Amino acid sequence: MTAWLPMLIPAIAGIATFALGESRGRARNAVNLAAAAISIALVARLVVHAYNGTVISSTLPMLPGLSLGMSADLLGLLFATVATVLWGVTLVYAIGYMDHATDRARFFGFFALCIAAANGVALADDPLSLFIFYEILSLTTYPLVVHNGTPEALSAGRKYLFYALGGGAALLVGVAWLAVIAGQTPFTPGGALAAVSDRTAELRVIFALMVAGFGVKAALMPLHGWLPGAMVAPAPVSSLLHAVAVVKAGVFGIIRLVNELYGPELATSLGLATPLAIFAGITIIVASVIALRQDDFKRRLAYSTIAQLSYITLGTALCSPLAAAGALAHLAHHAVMKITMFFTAGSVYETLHVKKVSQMPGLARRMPLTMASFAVAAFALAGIPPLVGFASKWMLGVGAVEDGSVWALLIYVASGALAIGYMVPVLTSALRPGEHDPATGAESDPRMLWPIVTVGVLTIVLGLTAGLPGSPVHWAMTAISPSFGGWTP
Amino acid sequence: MNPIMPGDISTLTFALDPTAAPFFALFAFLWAVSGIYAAVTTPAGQRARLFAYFIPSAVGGITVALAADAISFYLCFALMAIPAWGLITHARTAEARRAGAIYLTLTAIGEALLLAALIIMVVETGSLELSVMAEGIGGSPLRDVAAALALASIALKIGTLPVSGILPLSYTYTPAGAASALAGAPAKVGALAMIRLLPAGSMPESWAAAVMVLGLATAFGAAVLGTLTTAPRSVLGYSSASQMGLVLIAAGVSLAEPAAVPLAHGAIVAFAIHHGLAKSALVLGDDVVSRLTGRARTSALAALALPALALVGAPLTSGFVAKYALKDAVHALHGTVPEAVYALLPWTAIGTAALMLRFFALTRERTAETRVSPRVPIALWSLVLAAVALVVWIWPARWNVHAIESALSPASIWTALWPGLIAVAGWMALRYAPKGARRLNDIVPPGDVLLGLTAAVRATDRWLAGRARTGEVTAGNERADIGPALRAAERTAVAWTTASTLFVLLVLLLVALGTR
Repeated sequence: MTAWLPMLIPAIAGIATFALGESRGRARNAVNLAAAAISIALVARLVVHAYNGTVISSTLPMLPGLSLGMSADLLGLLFATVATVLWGVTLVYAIGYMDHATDRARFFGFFALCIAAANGVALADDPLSLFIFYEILSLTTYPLVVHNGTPEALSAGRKYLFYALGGGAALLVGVAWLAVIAGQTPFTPGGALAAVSDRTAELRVIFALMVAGFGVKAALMPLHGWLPGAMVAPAPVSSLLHAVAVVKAGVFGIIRLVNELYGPELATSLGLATPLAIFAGITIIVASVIALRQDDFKRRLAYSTIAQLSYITLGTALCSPLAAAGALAHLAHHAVMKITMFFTAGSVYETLHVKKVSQMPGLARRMPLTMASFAVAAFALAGIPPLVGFASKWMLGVGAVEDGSVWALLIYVASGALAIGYMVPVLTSALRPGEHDPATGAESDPRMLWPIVTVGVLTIVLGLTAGLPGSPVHWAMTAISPSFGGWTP
Repeated sequence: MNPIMPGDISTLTFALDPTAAPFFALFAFLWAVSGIYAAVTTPAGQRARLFAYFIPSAVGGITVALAADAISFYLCFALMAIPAWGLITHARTAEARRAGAIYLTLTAIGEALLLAALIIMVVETGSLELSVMAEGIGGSPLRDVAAALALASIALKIGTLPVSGILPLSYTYTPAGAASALAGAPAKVGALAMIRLLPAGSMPESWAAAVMVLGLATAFGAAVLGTLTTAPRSVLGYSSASQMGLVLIAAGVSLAEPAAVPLAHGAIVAFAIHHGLAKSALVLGDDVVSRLTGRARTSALAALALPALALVGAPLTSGFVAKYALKDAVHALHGTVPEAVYALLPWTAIGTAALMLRFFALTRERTAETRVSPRVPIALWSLVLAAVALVVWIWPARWNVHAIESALSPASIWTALWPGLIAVAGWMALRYAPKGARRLNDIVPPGDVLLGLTAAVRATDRWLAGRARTGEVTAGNERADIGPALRAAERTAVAWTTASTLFVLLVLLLVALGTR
């Protein structure tokens, strides 16, 4: 039962939030923060168990022959930890950000439900269970995207739903087809389809369907169209859902699919890995180039996210152990870096109504701590050592060369240069003297400021400690190892 | 964890090995003197802003010499190069900003190339140690890729053709103290990288020849650009590019012939020390002259001749020693290209001499800016001048032995003198030449082709933006017309998706029941 709790506790918090209604703000905040604290403690306990070799799992029969399974393995727990811990940080931020907003019960309720669904995706034990939570995640995100209720938001919401349901349908066909030929197959490190590996044609089509399904949330081009539009949502949604929970559910699905459903060997021998890698490589470069040209701050970050998600997809598709571990570590690292940036975007908008990069002159003086945190995250994203992005980029690059794919290394380093290209103009614009110059009182609401500084500091700390046991790097290598026959670096 | 993983911060290694020693001494001296100079000459209100960038850049720029593993090297390289942007744009003028933007773009590309080269070398040699990597990459199938990436990264740092403009851009607009550091040190990190990263003695001869030709072309080409440019510091920038072209020739020598490697590396070190000190002295001298009037100014201009003559390679100067080391290295190779390069090498000094004459002319024209006696700047400048005069002669190494032995032989003195005399003669002739010829001056803005490239990129961007905007407008109009239709289509699509989802769910259910 314990394996269900990371999903159930946020779900209960969400339902309680709806029940409390709009007026009881203090109780609502207390419930959510308490739920986050309990979830974090719980996930931490599961991590300790998993590190010691005990994977806690539990199955719930649903229909004859079909069941829902949850399993707290290291791979899933990495994603669940990222989602849960950053949920806690984002809650504090969101309470500050939404201080004067309306419909807060709806907002925080669905917010918690999203995290429940994300944790469900993380710990789901088989493709069907994963699919169910993946769909719940799509549906619970929709009210958050359209939260502002403007025509623009509604249009973005429709687009989002259109993509999400289309992707969900493709995923479901894949999952069902697979169930027909192989029965319900729990995820197994190294691959679960050895028994049916001779049905190559069907396996190829199923893989394509499932990649199409996961690719929507992973924003793999050309399935990325919904993400820049969804930036119309309030900043906490962009921060937690469109940089962490929702989009990472997509790439996490691809990680499960390649490493634990097909297995790196089968994915390679069926010729499935290379096309996926090529799609991801194109996405990295094209999205980075588009990001260079965005004046709207959040859209710039959104295109950067599209590129960075494909870092993970490409690392997974290379099917080399170090690249796969780098991809998994990047899932955590990118979450920390990008949430810092979206927090910044939300904070400068909420405090000074700055939406565009060109409106930023003077910001560095007006909001020094905020912009310093952003700067750290920006250089981390560009892969400057010893910040956190460097560790995963190094692993991905080394993994690519070990695999013989120098082209992938070149894509990684080129996108690092492009990241400097689209991040530094934000900083130089903020550093210019400008209209925001005279400091008037506090930098911003402390409930927004301190979460930003916290995650900003985390990008430094995680970078400095990347080589130590328990760091995302170490964790990712331990989690990926069984998929490559017990590989150790 | 295996040795090629990125570790935590404790795995960074630094060592004062024989390669590191001269570079460390040079970088520490230049950054320290320049730092004090900048602290004294920068107005109090701007000091904090300047040093917020100067200090990280200096820390990176000094420690890079000691970096013994790939990650430390990359870290120090980035720490030096990226904050230098703040020094270049310190003046906050439009030109300075543009220079900063171009500098940062090329730096980002150079960093990416360097990282790619390092990663390939690390994987292929299974080690993070720079010395093991440079040794081992020679036998790897990816040797050529790694060498090409490393060379491209070095080329961006030292400003070979066609990116020579990066050097004048990086110190034309920078405040004098900081400019002296940028003129002396960062390009020499490129020289350090030639020793640390290139697979010495294990490349085909064609590679060596190509690199030497590129170096020679840069030595000549940058000199031409420099004589036609507009500001004293810009002249110095092109002169640096030209001199670093000579260093690249030495790097070319080191590539193919194992026996020539010690000579080539010696020449690289000799040039780095000589040029780093001399160029720094010229930048500081230019600033000191502009602060003086009357006799003091005349004396300062006379003292400025020392580093200028050194760059030309006049007898008894540091440049004489460096060029001797380079000639010895090139002489160790046989074949058409090395022999041609050897023959053309003295001619590059004509270009350098022309550059120095141009620099003197521009500096003399500068009007005095302050009348306050700048004691500390003069003292600091004198210190650098003393270093220019002495260091290459007394540095304990093998690369200066031959030069010291031949310092007084008439043949070598003549070889060192004639290019300078030709340049002076040309300069005199130009004074009596028609005005049209003199108007050739001032036609190259600092940054040359890079400025054109930037303008082209901007124009493309505007064009794209214009297209996108027109596209948006049309889309908006269409939406007004076909809005209801679109919405209806969307509704249909959503309904269709829901229906098919339910359908597949039913199929799934039937399958589940069927397989029971």
